[in-house]
Amino acid sequence: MRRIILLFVFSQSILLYSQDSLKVQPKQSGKIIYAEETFKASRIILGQSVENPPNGVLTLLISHHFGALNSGFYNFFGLDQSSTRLGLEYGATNWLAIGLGRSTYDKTWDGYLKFRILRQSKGARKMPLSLGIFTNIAVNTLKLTTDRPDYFYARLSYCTQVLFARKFGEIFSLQLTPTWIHMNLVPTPQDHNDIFSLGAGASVKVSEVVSLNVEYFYLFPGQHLDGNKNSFSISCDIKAGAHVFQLFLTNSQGNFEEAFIGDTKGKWFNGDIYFGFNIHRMFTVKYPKAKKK
Amino acid sequence: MKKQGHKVLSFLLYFFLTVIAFSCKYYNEDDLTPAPPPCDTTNVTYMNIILPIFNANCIVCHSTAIGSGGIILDTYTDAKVPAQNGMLWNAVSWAPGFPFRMPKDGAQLPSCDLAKIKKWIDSGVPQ
Repeated sequence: MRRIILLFVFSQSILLYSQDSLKVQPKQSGKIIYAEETFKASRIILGQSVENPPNGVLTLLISHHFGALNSGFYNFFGLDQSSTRLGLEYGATNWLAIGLGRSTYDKTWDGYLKFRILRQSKGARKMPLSLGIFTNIAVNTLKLTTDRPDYFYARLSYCTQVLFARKFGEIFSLQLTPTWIHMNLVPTPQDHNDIFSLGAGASVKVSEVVSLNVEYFYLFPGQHLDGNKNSFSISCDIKAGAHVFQLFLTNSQGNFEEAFIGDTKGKWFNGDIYFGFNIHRMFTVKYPKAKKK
Repeated sequence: MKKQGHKVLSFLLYFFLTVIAFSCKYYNEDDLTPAPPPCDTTNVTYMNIILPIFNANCIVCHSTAIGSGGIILDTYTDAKVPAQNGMLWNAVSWAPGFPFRMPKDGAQLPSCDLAKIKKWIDSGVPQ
């Protein structure tokens, strides 16, 4: 019950604040200069960035991981294996994005909401950072192979993240991402159903179209995550018109939050490195009113 | 129109958060996996318990008609001989160093069947 009340208060405050912050803008007498393109896409590499698609824009996101580089010549260093997530993300308003995706990893469907609460700005209104909130539900649809009862709830997991980002000057951006993952089902009673992690991501703009990124998710100790490792990824982003291509190396096989934060088994120093790419393709579904005319 | 959009979004947000709030569980695989049924080793006699185990697993080779290796298990008089001299238990429990592992070329008997055979031998091979 306490959780429900907290969620109600939390959601109410998001709605009121977000609507209010948008309404306030035109009333400002001076000009507000927002920090544009803190990150090139809605993902820093694997994790969410503070960026949302603009209102009326639908993004198709194809996220693809090959197998581990240390899997040898027989598997052509991982190119014979693959794990893919196909996703859609829609900017329902300027402060809310709605997403849906399906991953090869555990045949998982995930749906999410991403709120943009604050935007870094200067001028008439000074805001030192951008703030977003991300929350998702993931459903594992693998066929059950053991003889335990197949509860639907046991297939669910959730992730909630607060995204604090700041763009320093024109070339460097940094984001901190405190993360709470809840898994309805864990292997043993010693494993924690709630997992806490702190993510950090940074981006350096090399040119107008290229940027280099790094991302790390630190799992707090004492959560009995047998064999789990911290996720670490590096990437190169290339922006080309309505496309953003992200080429990355990571030790995580999964491509949704519960998998790459809560279930990373690979170790960089063992060569468990997965090459992969994200392709973001933006489609303008609903044109802004000014452009319609 | 804009207000209606906000209503839809509010509904969506509350629906999403309500689903999260009500579907949050604390399961683990160990608790959900049913425990194996308990193994009943009371009143183990040849006729009631042991003969059905032999019929299901051993009689193909160790019947009165075939009697492979001189071992016969489908009559009480013949079956109690290997039971009492230790051959039966050594064979079915795959005792280290014992040359035969029964059932021949098959998987070992289930642990509950082994426990019943052990109990039968230890309690003096009752008929």
